Amino acid sequence: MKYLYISFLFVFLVACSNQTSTAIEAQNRDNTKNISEQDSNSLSVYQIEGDWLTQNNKKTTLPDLKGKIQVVAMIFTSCQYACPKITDDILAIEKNIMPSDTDKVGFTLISFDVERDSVSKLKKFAFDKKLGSRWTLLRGTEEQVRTLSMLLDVNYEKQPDGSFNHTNIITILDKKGVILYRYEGLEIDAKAIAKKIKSALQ
Amino acid sequence: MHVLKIACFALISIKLGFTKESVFREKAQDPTVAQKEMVLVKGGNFTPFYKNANSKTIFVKPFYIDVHAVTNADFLRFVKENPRWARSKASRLFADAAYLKHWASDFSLGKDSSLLEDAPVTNVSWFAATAYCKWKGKRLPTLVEWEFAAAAERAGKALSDTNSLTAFILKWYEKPAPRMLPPTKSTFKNTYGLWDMHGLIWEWVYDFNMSVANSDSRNAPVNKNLSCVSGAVSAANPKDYASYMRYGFRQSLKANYTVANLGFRCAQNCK
Amino acid sequence: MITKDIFKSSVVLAIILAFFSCRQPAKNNSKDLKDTIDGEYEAQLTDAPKVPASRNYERPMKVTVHLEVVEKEMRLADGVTYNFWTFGGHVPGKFIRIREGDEVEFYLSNNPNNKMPHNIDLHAVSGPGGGAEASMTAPGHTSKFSFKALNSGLYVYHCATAPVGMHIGNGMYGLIYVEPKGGLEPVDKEFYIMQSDFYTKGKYGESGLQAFDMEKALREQPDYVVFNGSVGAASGDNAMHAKVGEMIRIFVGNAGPNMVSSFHIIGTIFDTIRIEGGTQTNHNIQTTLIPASGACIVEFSCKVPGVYTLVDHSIFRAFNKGALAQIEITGPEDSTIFSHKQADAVYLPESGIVQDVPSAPVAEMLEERTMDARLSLGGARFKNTCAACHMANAEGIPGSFPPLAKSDFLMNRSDKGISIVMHGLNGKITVNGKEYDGVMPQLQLNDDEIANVLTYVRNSFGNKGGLVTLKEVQAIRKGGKLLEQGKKSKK
Repeated sequence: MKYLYISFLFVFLVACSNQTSTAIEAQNRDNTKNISEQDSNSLSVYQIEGDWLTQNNKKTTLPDLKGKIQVVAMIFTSCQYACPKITDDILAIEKNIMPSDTDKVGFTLISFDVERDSVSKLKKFAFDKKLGSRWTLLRGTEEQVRTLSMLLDVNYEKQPDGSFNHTNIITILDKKGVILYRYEGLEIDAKAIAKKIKSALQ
Repeated sequence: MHVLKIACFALISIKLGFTKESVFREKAQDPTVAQKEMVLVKGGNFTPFYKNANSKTIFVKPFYIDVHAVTNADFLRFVKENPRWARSKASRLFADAAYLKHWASDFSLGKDSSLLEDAPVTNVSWFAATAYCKWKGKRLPTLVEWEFAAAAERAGKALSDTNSLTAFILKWYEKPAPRMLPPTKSTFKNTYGLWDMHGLIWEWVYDFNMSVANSDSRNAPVNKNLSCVSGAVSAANPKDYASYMRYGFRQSLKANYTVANLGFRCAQNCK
Repeated sequence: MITKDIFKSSVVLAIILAFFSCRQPAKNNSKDLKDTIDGEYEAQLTDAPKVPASRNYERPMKVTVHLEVVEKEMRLADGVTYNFWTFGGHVPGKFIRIREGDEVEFYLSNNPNNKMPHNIDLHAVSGPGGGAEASMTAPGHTSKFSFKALNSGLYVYHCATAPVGMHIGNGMYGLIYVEPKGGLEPVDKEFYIMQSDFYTKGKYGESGLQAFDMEKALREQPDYVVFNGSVGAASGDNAMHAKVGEMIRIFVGNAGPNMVSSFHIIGTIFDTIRIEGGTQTNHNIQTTLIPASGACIVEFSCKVPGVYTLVDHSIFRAFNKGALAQIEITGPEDSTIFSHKQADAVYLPESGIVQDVPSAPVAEMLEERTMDARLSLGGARFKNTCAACHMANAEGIPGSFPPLAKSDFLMNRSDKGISIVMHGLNGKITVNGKEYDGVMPQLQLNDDEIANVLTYVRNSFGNKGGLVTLKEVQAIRKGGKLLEQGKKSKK
């Protein structure tokens, strides 16, 4: 049954992902205009407080992500298809970022699976996917994760088998944690997104 | 910090800390006081409207839920104690521009206050509703809890008369909202003793964004793997239409949205 | 195994779905300067039956469209109201007119007082859901999305929020016309008509606020099938108007949600139809089929004045469920094209009275006759023609056929009964104090025969009325007043 779902999702998203991504980007371009007019602190998603644990078993808070542009996605490590694909997409973005800028950009994955994605699971996922030192994988409480999903506009639902149905979204946050761009769907244009990040750094 | 520790399955007794930048740093009141206006919904098996192929029913644990929706008067007390949730102070990230627009000002209901006081508060975001619940030492009901509680028939109606509730709901859904909402406890009480679960306002639920179904509902059977259980959303049962509309409404929301006929009530875990 | 089959079929289905959802422009990729955007404007939208004028520009433009969803109670029929959900406050929704190649920036607002979320699927859009997902809007919010109008044609738009059938059933649809490059031939008048079906708890015409009836919608048994959102929305005082000879173009849509329309205009022939709103044309068409969520452009002119009725020629819908609209055409008559009624005869083969229907009595040389001659000829005619109903003794049959014998009604008439025999008579009359309500057919008698039979009747059975002359009969036939009832305008 899961294959059924995935097969739909695959064909559907692959076929249509370009249009979807563009639409959301355009929508957020308008948001960025307003941000300068408002106190960007009040628009930061880092206002969600509470401790999180990283894949290195380090206690951290979201404001610790400040100072870098962050490429963010929500995943769960036992995911068979979409989450590895999102991770690959972000790896592709990372590859397209100029070496001179690499220290100014971070990559963050937050797990939906508060029960099963232990620190060691996160660690293993980072190892398997060859995620480098600029990557942060986070686990938090169910409510922290739910609240973050509200801010990132990611929908998710836990399935009885422990997996998750979720929307596939990559979010680019500025140095203060304000949303710059959102890309929905799989098969994103990594080069174009890297370009956006580069221009946001200037 | 620790603001979000009152999770779906956590106990309410966990102490809330708060820091300057916290979203929900409202100090919790004594929850035992609050429980007076709540009823206990004994859990049970519930068949959700959007069935998954591999899930027929869900077991709902017992929970407390408010007898009626939070009123303007209730919410005004909350805002006065937590001025960061005043209309002019709340960040657009957490409440859109229409937040509490029916109030005269940050801390006043205005000339219609006598009518507004007992009416359910609307034009509140999910974040604001969640903060209010925290302040009360409570939480928002989950989608499944809310649907479970709302599926109960009207008190005093024969069980065989279930169509009447559906008809009642559909009739309310079809009508545009009145200019001034009636007070809470003005529609009907269901068999749990809960007022106005239908017919007064829409209500926020904790995990309203759980639906992954495309908001273009026609794709839902594709995305939701419903093609093999299409009976579940088949138009054959009008009751499904009432549910469809609630699920559709939730899909149109984002957590910072405020809507003129969308309010909330609180829930609480059962120890 | 079943799972496998479902898997296979689902993949096929998904591929098909993806294919259709993601129509790519087959052409129009030319980078010709003519296809680049040149300027921008905000679209002026109109309520039916009005259509925005063609702006007819050379190069595509950026067009901003603002459309507001309003839920409100409005008239569905006389004494009947309904909670409509509308695009722009009326049913059908606003007419949107753009041009092929235009880039449209679409703003869909959901009125804060509305209860429902809404969205819009424009069939003119190439992209998933036709914009439905991109435009999903909670009450009190506005969604924005953009699309390029790749294909010209007349397209339906509608709400696609769950439950879709109910949103369409409550009035959420309209038309968007993507004018082809170069535009259409100019015409004198353009109108916007959209058919749709409604399902109410009460029966057709049952007064009061009527709620949507899901059961009837599922059974596809509408109580109302209407043009432009209510019974009589485009007829009577609300009829459309044009002049004789003017070329008229109607943008016709059919929203459904269930019914397929047999669109027809009584009394005219479509010179041209643009089949299903697309590029192919057909000519000299009486009735065109418009599917649910389809459209058609019809072009015609009316050659003679009168009222022309638009119907869904699945005809019980027209006369029993409301699917009627009217265009009133004014201007000069042209009897070479249409004469109006020139004669009307009862056809009763078994009686042998009237066989043929000459358009007017054959002109022949007729002469005055003597009283005796007329009594004789008239007596024969009476037996053959009149006695069947009025009986041989002219006493008639009480309650059915009035007496001619000593009939105050007949004998007091200033026309001596000539116009009755000449044109027939129907409706209530009182004869010798008794009421009769029947029909006397027009009799195909020439003026001489009329003079004969009336002379006979007026001087027999106790009647004393004197001679009826040919001259008198001819005078009545030419005379104005009494002749009017024979002429009827077509409605």
